[in-house]
Amino acid sequence: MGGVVPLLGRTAGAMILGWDGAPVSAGAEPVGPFRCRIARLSALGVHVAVAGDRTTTAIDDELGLRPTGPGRLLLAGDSGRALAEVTSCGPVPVGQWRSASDHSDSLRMVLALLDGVGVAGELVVALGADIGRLARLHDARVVVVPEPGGAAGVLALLDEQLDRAERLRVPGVARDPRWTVVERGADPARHRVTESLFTVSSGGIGVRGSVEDSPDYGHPLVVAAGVYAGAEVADGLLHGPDLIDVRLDPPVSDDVRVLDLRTGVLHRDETRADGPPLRSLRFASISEPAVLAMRVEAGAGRLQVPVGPATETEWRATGSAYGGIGAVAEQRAERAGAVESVQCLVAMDRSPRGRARPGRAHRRLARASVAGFERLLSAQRAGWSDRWDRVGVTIPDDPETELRLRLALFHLWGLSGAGRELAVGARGLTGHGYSGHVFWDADAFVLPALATIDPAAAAAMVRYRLNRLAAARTRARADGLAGARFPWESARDGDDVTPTAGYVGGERVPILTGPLEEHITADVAWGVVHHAAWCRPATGLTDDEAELLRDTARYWASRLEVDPDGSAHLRRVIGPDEYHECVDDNAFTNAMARWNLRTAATLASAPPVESAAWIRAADALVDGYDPSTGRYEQFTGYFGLRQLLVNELAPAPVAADVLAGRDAIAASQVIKQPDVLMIHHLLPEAAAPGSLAPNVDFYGPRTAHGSSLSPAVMASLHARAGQADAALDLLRLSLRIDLDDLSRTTSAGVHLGACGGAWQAMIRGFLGVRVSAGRLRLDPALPDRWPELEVRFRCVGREVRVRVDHDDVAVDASGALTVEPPADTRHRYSTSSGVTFAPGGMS
Amino acid sequence: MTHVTAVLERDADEQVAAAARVVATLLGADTSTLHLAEVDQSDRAAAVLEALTAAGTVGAALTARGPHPVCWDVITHVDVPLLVVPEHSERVLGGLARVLLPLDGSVETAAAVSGVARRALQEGASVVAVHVFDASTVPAFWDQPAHTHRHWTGEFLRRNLPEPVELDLRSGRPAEEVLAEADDSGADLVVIAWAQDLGAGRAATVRRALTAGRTPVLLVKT
Repeated sequence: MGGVVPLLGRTAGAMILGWDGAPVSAGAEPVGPFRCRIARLSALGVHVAVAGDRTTTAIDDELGLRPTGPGRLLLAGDSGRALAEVTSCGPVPVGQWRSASDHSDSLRMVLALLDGVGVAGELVVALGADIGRLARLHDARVVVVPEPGGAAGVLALLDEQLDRAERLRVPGVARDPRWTVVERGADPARHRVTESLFTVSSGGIGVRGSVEDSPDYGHPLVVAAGVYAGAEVADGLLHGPDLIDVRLDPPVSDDVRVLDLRTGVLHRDETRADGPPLRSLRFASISEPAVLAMRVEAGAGRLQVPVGPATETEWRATGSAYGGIGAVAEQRAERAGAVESVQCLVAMDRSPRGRARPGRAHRRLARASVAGFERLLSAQRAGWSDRWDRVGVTIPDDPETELRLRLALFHLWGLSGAGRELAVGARGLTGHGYSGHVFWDADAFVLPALATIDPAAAAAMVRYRLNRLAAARTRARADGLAGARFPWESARDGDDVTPTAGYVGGERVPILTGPLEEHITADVAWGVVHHAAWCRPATGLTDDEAELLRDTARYWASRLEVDPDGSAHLRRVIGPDEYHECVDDNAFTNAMARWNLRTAATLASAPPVESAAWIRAADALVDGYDPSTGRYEQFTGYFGLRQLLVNELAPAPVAADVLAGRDAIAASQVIKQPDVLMIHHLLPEAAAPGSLAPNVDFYGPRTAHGSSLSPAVMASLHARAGQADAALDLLRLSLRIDLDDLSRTTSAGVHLGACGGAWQAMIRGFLGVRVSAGRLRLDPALPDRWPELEVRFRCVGREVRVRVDHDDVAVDASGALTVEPPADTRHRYSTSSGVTFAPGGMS
Repeated sequence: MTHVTAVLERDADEQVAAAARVVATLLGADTSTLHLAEVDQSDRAAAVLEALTAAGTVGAALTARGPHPVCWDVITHVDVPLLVVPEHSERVLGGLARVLLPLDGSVETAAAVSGVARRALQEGASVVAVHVFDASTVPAFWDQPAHTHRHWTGEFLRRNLPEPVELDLRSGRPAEEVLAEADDSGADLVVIAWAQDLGAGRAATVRRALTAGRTPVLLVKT
């Protein structure tokens, strides 16, 4: 022992050290110094594994520690044959192996356990050459200190960790390319895009990923779900108080920013600096909702913050009696040699109705302050790891798609914990885009995805619509109709906030979606019913859900027109394909209305006479289906339009109306996004049997994908049509929309509908999941480029894990679950848990 | 002192002289005059180039009118901004009330015209950028006419021209649309950034602006 102690210069999330021999020869050393340091590290959330030759009981006796956590203490003993975790009751066995000549097996399990709490790669430090060699067998990125300098060196390294916490030093992240979105360099044009991509959200509040030094080309922003600045169309989301305002001189000229999806942490590292570089780390706390934790460090004197004890900032708030966002922060600065650090814990409050309440924010801040940054970070890592364990995707042969899907899931997860009601604007909590208005994206794209991720958040989305049923009734009455009509664009109150004019390219146009895009009403009803069926099939609809279903059905019953021949029609509407306005009998709108009527007749507990009338009305609604071709006509007269394919204009995706002019496109068969095919997407059981492929073949080449919602839906449909490779191309396109800023508007926020659509493409498209009467139907279709795939998701109250290759499907669930494979499946189905396979018949 | 040179191919070309005064005001320079009437046609380009590379020359004005205008021989070789009176222009430029900046979305174009835009704004002119969507620049997505337009134009301007200017969007052939926008908006000047390449298939907007347009064109090298 002795000699120069090599310090790490980094903050560890876990430390593994050898105990009976190198570097610590326990019998020869006083144990007390180790005991107290490990206890303190555990209290900070740092996990420690001790590997020795003696039994875990013997090591435990010697160490004599009962850490209160949250850092875990693991004992790998008996020369690697046993692994135990020390709890308040003593060591609890977690693994045993019959024979082991070294610690290979036990260390593998240690690393797996650490991975389970979000600590992996460079966050794990192994002390000692032998331990390090074995640990690296299982994780190449583990940091190894081969010669820590004996017991004194190890103690110094443990002290370094404690000191780094005390000095508020910035922890790092594990730079696993499968989990990290990395941006290098300060490109002003790209910066606002990355601010959107790097948004972190918690408790219904989103904080854009703006850098700490706030360059003038940035757009820092805090927004909250459902909190608007006013009732006018243009008011949009309320901008919260500025939370991040670190004065930095000189500013950063070049950096690397890393969003670690695995732990929900945003890290920044200056790459060109004279002296200690700027580093920062922030996260929106998963354990303390609506709390943002941040640390920044830089060379002394560069951060213009006085060193000293923690101080609490004044309450800062924006908004009015209409709605508000407020924040209070605790800030503390420390100096360690040439480095100064600032720590900021920000607690926020939001109120969709009325001003934000400082009392709630102060209580959150008090809790966060007691926990402390390190424990919040430890909980952050563990919490996100738990999320990914329940919901996620693994595509071993396609890491790029895997990462992009994970980013989509990350932003969808950002909607969690917003409370009982959740308004999901088109850009979620990642920007001001679309004024935070709630479109059909929420009901048909985000909600079904969220139901597979966080059923409580999906339920809160449903609650947003239920709470605006009165406004929808008022709208229907104003239109001289019965029931309830939901607005195309909705904000706080559920009134229609659709703008009335805009521009297609440079052409000023009236916006008719507000008065004419009526399918939203059935989409809302669909979302409500879908959520109930997907998340809680045993309980059926609640009373207020049934009420919404009844009133939307009443709307359609009063809205449709019956011709003398008895056929029913919905005239003067706009379908999802907004290139063709004011059309009659849009197939999708009619199909959704028909579904709404029939489902209400079945599920909404309406008077029998009314239900019977709904059934008759539904049966009378035309849908443009031609059995001879298997095609639906998108609307009356569509087939007579100029036959034009998108690739005759330009390669898709393309805003065809901008390129060729609205009138020219309206006179052609080019469509903005799937329209007829949305029947197959949302209502596969209602579509004519065998009609998917002919409609994909017909409408696919006519689809410009001029809507960012389009590629993901088409990916799902192609997968269902047996064209999985084409589906993958479309999925990849969808996943590029924000990461590659294909729309040039990601600066205004991430396209959350596209995120939801992409995840739906995985669940409904590639896995072929449907839920019917509480049973899971599963019919996977993998592209050739994916030899295997694992998807984890939630449905029917279960956590489900599906592993697929081209021959086998393995399904496991957290509880009893019945799975129906298709009757003609070529896959072999198996399970190692409580899954029952029932004969299918699905086509 | 810096100066803007009025290149006069005929002695009394008030269009060019006035244009030079306007450019001089814009660039904060004096004016000077280069008379070419007595210079042999074959030597005119060399004379202009020599004058425009002289110390203190920060710009020039010349014309595309006439049977053999020298402008076509010099515009590809000059580093300073050149104001060219188009072939069919009848206007005598009296000042700059409205300036049009065609932007193709490239960093180079934006960088080339931003200085002129800033000075025009300082001089009190209204500056309008125009971007023309064609098959190579059309956005992939245009989700909604009001929201998308607001976000797209806002972001385009922030990336291309931080100065407080308006942005007009058009669709079609850029050369035609820029001229149409100049006519429709009553612009006094069109500022075009270009790579000084008149090769086949290149500089369609410059060619069209000088041969078919009516609005004076300030050419700025990228």
